[in-house]
Formats: sequence, C-alpha cells, structure tokens
Amino acid sequence: MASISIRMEMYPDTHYAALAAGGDEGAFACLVDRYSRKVHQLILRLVDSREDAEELAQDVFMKVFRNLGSFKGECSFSTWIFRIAYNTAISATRKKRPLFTPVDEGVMECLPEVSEEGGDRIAYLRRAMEALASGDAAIIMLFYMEDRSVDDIASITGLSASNVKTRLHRIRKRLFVLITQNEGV
Amino acid sequence: MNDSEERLNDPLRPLFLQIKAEDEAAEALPASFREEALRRMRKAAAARRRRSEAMGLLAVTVASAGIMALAVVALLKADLLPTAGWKVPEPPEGLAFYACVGGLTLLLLLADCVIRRRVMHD
Repeated sequence: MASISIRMEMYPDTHYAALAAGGDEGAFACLVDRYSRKVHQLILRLVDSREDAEELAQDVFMKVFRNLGSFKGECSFSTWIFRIAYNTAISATRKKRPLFTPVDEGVMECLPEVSEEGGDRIAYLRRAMEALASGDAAIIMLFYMEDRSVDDIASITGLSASNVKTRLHRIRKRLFVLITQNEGV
Repeated sequence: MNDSEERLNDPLRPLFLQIKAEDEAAEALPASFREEALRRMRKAAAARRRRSEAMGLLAVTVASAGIMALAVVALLKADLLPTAGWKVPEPPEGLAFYACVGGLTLLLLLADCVIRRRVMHD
C-alpha cells in the first residue's frame, strides 16, 4: 500500500484526474491528499466557521469528482480546483458578507486603524485580514500563501487581471503602511 | 522589477508565510476528512454506474420495442402474412394473441436484463 502511494506521488495531477474520472478510488485519494488542506485553507478565508469550511471542502471534492470529465487541461489542475473551491465558498457566503469592497470607494477603508496594542505584526496582520471583504482576503491568500500569479487569481476568481492587480496593489500598500505605522507606535 | 523579484522583496511576504505556517498547524483537517471524501466518492460512483446501467437498459428496451414494431408494420404493409398461410387475428378477437406476443416480448427483455446484470457482475 505504501509503495502504491509513493509511486502515485510521482505523477502529475492530470494523470490522477484522468484515472479518477474513470472511478479509480486510489487516484482520487491522491488528489484529496494533495489538495484537501489547500482547499480548506482557501475556504476558511471566505467563510466564518470551521465546520462550514470542512463541509464545503467536502462539497468541493464531490464537485471535482463529478466534473473531472469536463476538465480539459486549459488551465492547471490546481487552478481548476481552486476555482471550484472559490465558487463553492462564494455561493455559500454571498448573502452573509460582501464579496468585494468596491475599488472606487477605497478597498482599504474597511481595514482597522493602527492597533492600540502595537507590537505583534502577525497578530495585527491577522486582524487586518479578518476585516477585509471575503473576496479580497481570498485574493491576498492566493497571492501570498499559494504563490499564485495575477493571471491565475483572475482565472480562479473570475475577475479581470487588471482588477486583480488593482486590488492587490491597494490592499498590499495599505497593509504595508499599517504594519509599518504599527511598528512605530 | 519583474514579478518574481517584486515578490521576493515584498516585506509582507515573510509575514504571510509565517501566518501560513501557523495556520497549517492550527487548522489541520480531521483525519476523518479523507475517509469521508472517499466514502462520498464511492457513493457518487455507484450512483453514476446505476444511472448508466438504467439508461443502457432503457435504450435497449426502446430499441427492441421499436424494431419489433417496425417488423410488425413491415409485415402487415408488405402483405407478407398471407403467403405464410396464416392470418393475423383482428384486435377485438385477437386480444389473447397480442397479449401473448407482448408477454413473450417482456419475458425476453427480462431474461436479457438478468443475463446482462449477471455478466456485468461477473
């Protein structure tokens, strides 16, 4: 069993996707192992509760399994699965939280001002992230934590690349200012 | 400055990487997640297989019925029956005859279905 999983780890996602589309449980298990944590992390940025995030992650893998036949490799498998995760989480949260703050109204207006606690940059950054609209938080998470390119993020979120760039620029700029201000307190 | 250089020089990057590392440790999925995902996958695969079998059976049934109807119409239209020296009974009197033919057809279809299932399961 161990040798099977070691051998399976050697193949690209598309190999497992093709096998799993035909009902191969081992190949699907490999995809779950590769992406469950990442999918869960992305959904956690978009929904408030951990229980909801876990259930939505299960839904994502079901959608992945049902739609594996329609995956044509036009984008990478990871982009495809992130897109499904993003859309699933967005559908679940659409009514609860605003998805994006309108850029023209200032993406950063919703961020907290300089922390009265000072000091802990990580804690402050976390609070700033929580204050972001869920879609903006997802963009930041994909950019920094998943190392996604602007084009990938645009493909995942359905926004234009220029829109993603603008949002990223404004959020990062403001976060940087807040962090440095916070250090000076 | 290109994108990768910009990323490397981004002062927020190490902070987010630290958050990522902390979150990975704190927000780990329960061990049951994988098993549950595979259980749902098996269930979905079984449902898909059943649906596929049902659709196949339906297609065979419709095709068989169509072919038989076509054969009957062809025989009647081509007036081939008298040459066989046998007269098809008219509907009011020949109900038993048609019921017999229908029953025989259903029996054959049922046998076909049973054989197919056995062959597939084997």
